[in-house]
Amino acid sequence: MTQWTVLYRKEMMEMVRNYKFLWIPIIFILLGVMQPVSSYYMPEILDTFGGLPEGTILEMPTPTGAEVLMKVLSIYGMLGVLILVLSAMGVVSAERQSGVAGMVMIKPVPYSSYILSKWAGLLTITLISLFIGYVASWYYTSLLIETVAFERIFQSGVIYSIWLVFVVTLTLFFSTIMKGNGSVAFVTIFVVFAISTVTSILGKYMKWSPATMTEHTGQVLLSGELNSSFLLAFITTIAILIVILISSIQIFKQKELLE
Amino acid sequence: MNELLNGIPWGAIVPILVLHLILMITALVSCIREEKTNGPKWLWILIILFINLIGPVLYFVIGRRND
Repeated sequence: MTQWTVLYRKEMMEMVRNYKFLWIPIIFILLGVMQPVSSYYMPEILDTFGGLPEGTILEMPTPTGAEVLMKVLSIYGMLGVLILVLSAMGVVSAERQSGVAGMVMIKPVPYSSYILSKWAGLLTITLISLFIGYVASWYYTSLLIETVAFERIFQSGVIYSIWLVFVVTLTLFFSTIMKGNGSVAFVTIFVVFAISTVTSILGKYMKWSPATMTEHTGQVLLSGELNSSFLLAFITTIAILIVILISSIQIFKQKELLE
Repeated sequence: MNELLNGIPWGAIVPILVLHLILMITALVSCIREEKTNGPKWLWILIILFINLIGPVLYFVIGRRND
């Protein structure tokens, strides 16, 4: 346990040193704040740059606060996921290439501690960024458009974070089994995209899929109630997470012996 | 135009600009202090300065050497 703490602290130190603790939350704040601001200014923006003929009357339904926040979450689902995957892609593979992993593993450190400390570090940065960004976006939405109950923000944020945790864990897994940083990012993004596309096409049969978390998030935001299939999706997601973590630890053991 | 400027809630806009600035400055400081970057350093400085938001992110993701 103490070894794990040491490794975790090293992970945190490293993220502070390469500015990850600064720029990832800032990006999440900016991505989250952009949406309420641009939907607030949409009429003016259209007026100034739209090039609409004189006298055009546009009936723009002002979006409700919950709708704006749903858009924010869908932006997080694309750009936020991209940023997280790109920042996490080298988490194991780069350390193995530069020899740091070898140096750590010379000492009697359990393989599981190594992988789990990496995982915990990734979770910390992901959750902090998501919550800071989401709360900032909630604040701007309340300021400019309409107040949304904080409870809903909290609930939807928690549910959404499950999906991001899933994405980050996948990144860790591919980072342990593959070599190049670029290929890790590419494969992870491809897999995440494939899972969410298949889930949205075959919605009926995919109620257990982790990608349904995004739908559950929207549901909670709009109505404050959880769909009954949430529990199923939650359980399978946790099960998949455990399987992925265990298999990355096992694969990491094998790889270390080979190199 | 003047009306538009007056109508802007500066309390909402200023934090966004400040965050942009912080991001850009950290990227710049990190880039200048780094001994070697992936690719020419002056190019990274230009990218950070002139491509809004995406420039610093690109630098942090692929410009830095992590070793």
